[in-house]
Amino acid sequence: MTAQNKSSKVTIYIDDIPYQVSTDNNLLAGVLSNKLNLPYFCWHPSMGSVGACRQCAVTQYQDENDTRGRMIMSCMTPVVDGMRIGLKDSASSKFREQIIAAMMTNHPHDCPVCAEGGECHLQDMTVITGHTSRDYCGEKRTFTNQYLGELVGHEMNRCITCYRCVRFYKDYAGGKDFDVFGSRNQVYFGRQKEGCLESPFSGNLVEVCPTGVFTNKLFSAHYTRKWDLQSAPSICAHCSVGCNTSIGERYGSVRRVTNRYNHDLNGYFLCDRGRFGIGFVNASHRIRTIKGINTKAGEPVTGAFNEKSFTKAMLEHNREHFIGIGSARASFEGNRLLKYLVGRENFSLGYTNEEMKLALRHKQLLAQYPQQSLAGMENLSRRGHGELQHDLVLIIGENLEQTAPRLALTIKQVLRNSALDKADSIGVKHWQDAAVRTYAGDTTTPLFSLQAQRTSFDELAKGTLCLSPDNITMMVERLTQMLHDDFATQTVVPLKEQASEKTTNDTIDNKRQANESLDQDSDKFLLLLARTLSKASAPLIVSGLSLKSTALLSAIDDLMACLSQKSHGIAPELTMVAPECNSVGNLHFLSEHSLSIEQILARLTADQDSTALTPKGSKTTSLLILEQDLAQISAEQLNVLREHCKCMIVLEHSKTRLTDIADIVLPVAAVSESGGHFVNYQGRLQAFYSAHLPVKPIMPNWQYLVLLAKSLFTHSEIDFSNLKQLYRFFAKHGEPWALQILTCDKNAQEKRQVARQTHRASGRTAVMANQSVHEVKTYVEGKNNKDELYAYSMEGTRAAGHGMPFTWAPAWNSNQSVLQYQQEVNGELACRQNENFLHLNLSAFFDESESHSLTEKLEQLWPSPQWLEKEQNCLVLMQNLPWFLVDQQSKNLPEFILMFAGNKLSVSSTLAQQYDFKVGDIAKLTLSGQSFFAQINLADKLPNGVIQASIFELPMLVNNCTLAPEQLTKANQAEVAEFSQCEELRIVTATQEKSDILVRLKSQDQMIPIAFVNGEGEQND
Amino acid sequence: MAKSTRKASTIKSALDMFISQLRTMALVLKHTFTKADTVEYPEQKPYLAPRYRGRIVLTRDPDGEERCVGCNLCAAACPVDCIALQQTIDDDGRKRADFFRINFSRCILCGFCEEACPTYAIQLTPDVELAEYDRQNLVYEKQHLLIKGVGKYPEYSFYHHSGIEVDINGQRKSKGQAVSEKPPVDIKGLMP
Repeated sequence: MTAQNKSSKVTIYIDDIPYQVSTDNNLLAGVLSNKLNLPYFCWHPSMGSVGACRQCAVTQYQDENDTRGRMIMSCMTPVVDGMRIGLKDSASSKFREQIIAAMMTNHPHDCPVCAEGGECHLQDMTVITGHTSRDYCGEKRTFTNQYLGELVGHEMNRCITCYRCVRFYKDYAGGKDFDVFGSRNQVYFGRQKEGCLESPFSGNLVEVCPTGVFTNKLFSAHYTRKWDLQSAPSICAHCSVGCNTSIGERYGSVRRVTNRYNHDLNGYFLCDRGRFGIGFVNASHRIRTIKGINTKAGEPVTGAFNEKSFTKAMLEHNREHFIGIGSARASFEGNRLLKYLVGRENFSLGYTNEEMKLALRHKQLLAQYPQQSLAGMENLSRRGHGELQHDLVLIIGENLEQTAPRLALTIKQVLRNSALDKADSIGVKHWQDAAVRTYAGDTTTPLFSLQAQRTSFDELAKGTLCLSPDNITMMVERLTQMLHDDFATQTVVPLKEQASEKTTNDTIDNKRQANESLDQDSDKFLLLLARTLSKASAPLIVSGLSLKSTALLSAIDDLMACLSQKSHGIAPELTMVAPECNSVGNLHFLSEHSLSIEQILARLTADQDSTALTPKGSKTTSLLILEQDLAQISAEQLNVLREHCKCMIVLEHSKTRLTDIADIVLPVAAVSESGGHFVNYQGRLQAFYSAHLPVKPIMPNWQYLVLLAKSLFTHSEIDFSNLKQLYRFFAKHGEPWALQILTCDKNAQEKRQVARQTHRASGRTAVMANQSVHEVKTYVEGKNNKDELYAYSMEGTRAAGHGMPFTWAPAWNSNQSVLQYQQEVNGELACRQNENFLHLNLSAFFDESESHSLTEKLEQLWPSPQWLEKEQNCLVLMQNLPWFLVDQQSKNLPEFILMFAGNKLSVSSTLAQQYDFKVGDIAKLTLSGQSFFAQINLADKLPNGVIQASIFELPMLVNNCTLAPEQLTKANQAEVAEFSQCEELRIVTATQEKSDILVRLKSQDQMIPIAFVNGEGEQND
Repeated sequence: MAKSTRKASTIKSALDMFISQLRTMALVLKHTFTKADTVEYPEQKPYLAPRYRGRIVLTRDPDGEERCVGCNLCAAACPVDCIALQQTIDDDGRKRADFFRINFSRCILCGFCEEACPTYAIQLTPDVELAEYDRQNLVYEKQHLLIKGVGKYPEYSFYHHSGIEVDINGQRKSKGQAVSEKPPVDIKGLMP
């Protein structure tokens, strides 16, 4: 492909006015980049053009003397230097109006009852073209709708056949269960049979559809117009990608999440876990009251919150020695403050010994290999500028659709690189979507997948191998070895010959022996992979922490080191998927003083043993736990933890097994109600803001920690009333991240506060009039909030570009309005700030030169438990939860539970024979004293000794654990009955919960606490 | 000279004042015998045209069902933001207002809500008697606003024209049964 070094802009004349337009994209994108209103439907900025809707017609003139011109479709026209087009001429504008008129012939009279109304691209385009009244008097064609699952609603009558839905679902996201049927005026978009949409990206249909065919069911059930939503820029808290979202609130409850354009990360699309998972903030398992603190009268503190009495009540724990346990889903600030309060020797991240080592390896990898952004991987906007595109993808031991769905969507686009190159070679540009797909066919960039389970990438892969986790590590090691040899000898030697050649080499020989179980397939796979890898110029290696294997991370490190030696001319990129939204942020707090769960347990029991000799009190150590559920530790360990600590204070937003046993539970705000930062898989420090104020006693975690600093600890210097003071405090202590945030905020807050509400927000004088006709004070800039960037009001400036709470532009009410704020189509947002990256260096932990002793040192600090030594026929448990149940926070959402097909356990047929399992039998799994039941499934390609569990009760953190053969048994009759009852009960409870939530939210709508709107939230008890 | 002129003008102005008094009395006396313009208001009601912009009501369609579909357009149009509502979907498929509140202590009776309403649900009536001793009583909820009749538009029923499935008079209006709709397309049919 021809390499040009910079974006080439040419001058074109639109209505005789010269404009600078990029030649990398089509004419429509060029017109829109100049913020001119040209209507379109089928074109989508990231999906390219197909020329289906004929809406973007413009007149092209031969030269300045040409007055007649000819009509062209701008989305199908490349930009040529000096071209002259007309938007305002009567021929093309009349044509565009008539196209709308034709689309409207069958469009039902639904706008008032349509959930898309007010943010409908069709409405916007109709107004832009000036089509005001209906001329057609004939009958409208109708369709029957389909049930498409719990998340997306279907209303086919409204369809204008732009084909965007099927192009997204099938072509872009690789879904298989959705298609287009019929012909001419009877074209139907849906599934072959009614049923739940299978793709984890189905929610994007709502945003992709230019009108209301696909609607967000959860939002429609408790609906409000876009213009009434009070929104805040937020960060998705359901995986480590850190997609930018916008959370919308109305009448005190969160209504929906929409995509917030971020050029580097999510672009225009979110996954369904991010879009629908926010429901957890409204669920009934949210904690809304303080547990375990009594007021003067002896009653528990409920509803009302009084700071003084809270502090007084907490003073009784003053003498205790505290160990703090932070978590990977609490905000960066919360963890930082907790670490400061308890001191680094008493701080833990809730990791076990194994996880501590894993985290440190992760930190090491991140420090060494900068992580690409999603846009960097896709490389679409930089296409044609001579930068290297990934020509090979290798996924190692991470089921991306499960752990980081948005990344999986990006990988699917990366796989199109060679198709785009192939099309480019005959001059078909990347935006010619239909042409590229027709010409390139199923050409894909080679993908190799080395997994412990079947994934959705298997059928796209050139080579795929399903192995047990240990064997994956071994394969990576062998691959590195092969590549080493290859680079030395310039050819790839098949492994068998290699082995026979080097029988003298002990290490290889040992490995060979260990790998006897690996069959010919794996040899073939390795050979093919090594050959392709050595020819690739920019391979992308994707892996993650979900296998929890330190050895795998070291092996990947070696592989990367081998590949990135400069002499090979390979520029490999590594992407590591972290387990949770702030896992990478937590790496910042990890030091050799950090405690693991085992160390905490040891310390607690030791404390008690030593104090038991003294006649005085028995326990002295208490636990302060921040948004942590310690899902990975066993029930026995939890019991020990509970028994040996004096007092257990848990700060949590939803009920977990820790809040059940805690002495004191403080309700903290969820992501929608609090501000802070999350650090994504790259180390990108991203701010999220509260969509609405929490009703006390719910408070952001840092506020509770500040209160506790006064009462529990002797940190009088900790006295912040807003986050900015916190940043200033830590900046004064010389912490670079705080300084980064402060400079970022300073740039942003040169103007007034940004309004969270739209300028059309309605009902201000009526929402609370049923409680008091006297209107509450409008939330104005005051003492407490002048440092905040966003106001809870419709008054304030409008952010244009970066950090917009919602997107709206004059004449553009739909989410397509974001094009008006991009520097150019698909480009970065205007007013972009510097990227904030967390600098992860290992110097805080150890000296890098001593990396040899690292393993020993780790082992010394956090020794592996003895039982990890593997026996012969033990089993390995792999998590195979569907994408919607992976995240602990959102897994209890009733819609997600209803989508779950029931507990399943997949085993290989040999294993099934061994245990005498038949398909449909119920198996019993005993894990650390707890029994889990699941239906048996047979999976052919599953490696022997690996069982895949998709069990609702089993959290994702319990992954890749070794089981003794007797831990898996067949369930007896009584247990089978109990199991089926449990499964039924789960569905019944979820259905009930779904309607209960709706009833509760609707009753809440009318009883918004007035103090809450006043921005004070302070109530007397 | 100057002295005498001044004296004459003083006399003249005194005379003018006296005549003015008499004239005023005469005018007042005259009005005693003319017909009064004022209306004895509480007992006697003034004529207000049917389209006079007074108290707001929510009307019903000819089938007796609520016309309001909770679309929020009235609230968006309201210049004083005195309308608040929440949409809900009922089991019969109809969308209704879960609550609908107008704060008449803020309402300026501009009628924008009526103009914005796509279903003729919200209408202004010629009732202007909205005085209350307690301001709180000026907050009208849905039960205070909803009337039994159709108001100014006797025939219109939104759901007969809309494409969504709802119950009309207890019977399901399926796809293709609304005004000027073809029966649903058989997507598995082979006919061109």
